[in-house]
Amino acid sequence: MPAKQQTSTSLDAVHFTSFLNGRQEPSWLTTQRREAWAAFEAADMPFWRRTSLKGFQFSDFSPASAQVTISWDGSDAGVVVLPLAEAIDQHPELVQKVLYSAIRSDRDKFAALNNAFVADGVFVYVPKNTTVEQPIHVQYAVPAAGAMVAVRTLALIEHHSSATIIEEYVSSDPNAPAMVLSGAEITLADEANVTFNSVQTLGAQVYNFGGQQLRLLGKDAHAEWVNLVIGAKTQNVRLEADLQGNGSNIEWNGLIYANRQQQLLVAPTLHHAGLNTEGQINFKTVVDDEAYAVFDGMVRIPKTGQGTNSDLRENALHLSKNSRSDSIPGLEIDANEVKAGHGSTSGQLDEEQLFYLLSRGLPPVEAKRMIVLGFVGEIIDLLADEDLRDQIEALVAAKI
Amino acid sequence: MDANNLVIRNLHVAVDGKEILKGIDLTIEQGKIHAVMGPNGSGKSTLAYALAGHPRYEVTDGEVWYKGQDVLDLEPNERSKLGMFLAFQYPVAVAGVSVANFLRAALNAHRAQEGVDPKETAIPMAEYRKLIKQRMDMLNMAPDFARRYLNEGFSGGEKKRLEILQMAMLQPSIAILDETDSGLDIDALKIVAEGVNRVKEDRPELGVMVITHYQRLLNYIKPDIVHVLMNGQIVREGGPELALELEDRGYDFIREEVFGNAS
Repeated sequence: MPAKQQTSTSLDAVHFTSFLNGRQEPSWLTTQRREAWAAFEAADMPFWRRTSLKGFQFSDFSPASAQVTISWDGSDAGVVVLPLAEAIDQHPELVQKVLYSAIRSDRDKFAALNNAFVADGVFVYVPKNTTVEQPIHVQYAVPAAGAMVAVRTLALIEHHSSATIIEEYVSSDPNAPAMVLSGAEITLADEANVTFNSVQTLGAQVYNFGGQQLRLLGKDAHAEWVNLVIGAKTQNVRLEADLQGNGSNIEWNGLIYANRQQQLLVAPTLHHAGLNTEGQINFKTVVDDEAYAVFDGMVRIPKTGQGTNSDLRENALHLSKNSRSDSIPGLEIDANEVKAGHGSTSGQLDEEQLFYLLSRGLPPVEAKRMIVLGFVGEIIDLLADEDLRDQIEALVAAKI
Repeated sequence: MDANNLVIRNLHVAVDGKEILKGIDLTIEQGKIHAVMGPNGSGKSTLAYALAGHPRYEVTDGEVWYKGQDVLDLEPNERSKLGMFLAFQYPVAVAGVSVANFLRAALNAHRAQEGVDPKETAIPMAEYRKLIKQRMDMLNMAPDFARRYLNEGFSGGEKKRLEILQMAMLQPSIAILDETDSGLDIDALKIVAEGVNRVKEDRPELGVMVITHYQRLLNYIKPDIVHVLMNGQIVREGGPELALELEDRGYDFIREEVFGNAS
């Protein structure tokens, strides 16, 4: 168990030493943690143009454990689905292949802190030629006010294998302030296949800083990725799909739904390093009240990425005058034989759609709810779990 | 005056500040089929949208009465609940909203009563499924239609059939069909017209306003009365033979009689 330091009022070396002393881990991991802590101490507070950290103080938070609930009914031979600490203990060499593969301690102060304290999470290993039918569902619950949790979803999917992984971030107390350092690092070998759903419905006083990466290392690897960003007070999360394997491809959909004073940012990057890779990014954004949402997307096609087929779309819906959204779709292309498109739209509720529904007797509030749910439903419908779909739909319906 | 007739008096409507309807007087009688015919730009669709309460169509003068209510005072959804239905010329696509969910919500909105928990008035799921299946069978629609998103990727014919399905589900007492024939080939047109006739058979008290440019739809939906709309006014009324005369001679002869040779 990681040490809990709920009583302390500032995040300092004492916390880290105490955390480290409570753990018996392989030396490579301890070294990484120490380096990360040093990087955290050395780094300045990041300046993010589109994420305000006004009012944020590290001293408001102390390291704590997230409540991790892993549900999986499968029993496939050789498949590992374990809490992170147990996986480090039982399969250190497998964990080492994915942990820290995406989130770099030199990225910024939060990434460093994340790497120093990462303790809770799930580790999934799928050996060659194995189809895991049952979805692996993990829920991370932030336990209490003032908690700082560092969480990671790790997966290694070997040759010609597949799995579905659903991660959920929730707050036990919807009003408790907390800091979540989130992360996902997933690696796919040749012809491997993953469906990854990441659903964030944290409480209204939570900061969420993190990174997620799907590395499609193998040829013809395939990923379906759904990101739902609905909760938290402030989020700054970078996402990356790294298509290194020749012929690898990804379908990537996401939703940001921000209302009240939420400030939610996702920064997805689609990196077409391999030959003949394909990727589609399709994100939807809804902003209401005084909320601010940012989609900072990037498609990178280096010289090695000949034959790339890439498309990036973002559509934003504004439900109030005081809400804002920024969409920054970027393209960097260094290969010459590629197809790459991008586009973003932003608009208000469509008057003609509204009138059409009203003309059938729906009251205005219900008509509006139906149109918005339809707009977001195209993304929510992609979730791999029916109960979760219903739950998210109800959550969004309540926000409208 | 029969309260079950839709009575339009001296209706003036402007769009973006420009007057399109210049004093329409028209009564749609309970149980009767009225054709409103006119050339392009005469104000036919404006009449349809204004009656349905589209916010872009500004009523500058006149009145519309139905079932003892001043229709112009009602919101679009209240007009629907009163029994008025507009089949759109250009039905609107709404992504992510399935036909089945939408129609159930619309039906429940119609059943809702003030001060009563909507759960009590809502149609039970089993009853709803039975009803929509029966109406879709009546209109020869494939079952998967109900699961599709509202008008999303629909062909012209499918859109118009969905309008008629909505009419069959909501059981209005006044239906306004705005150029339901536009964009349809003759087979699609026959199917849609037959759908309208079936709904009417089911509900003989239904008053219908068929808005059309051409006579051909009226071969399949037989009007009792034909009104000719031109320059924002009803300029001529007659029996079904008037539609045939228009088919033969075009609109020019009426234009000349009403407005002289100037145009």
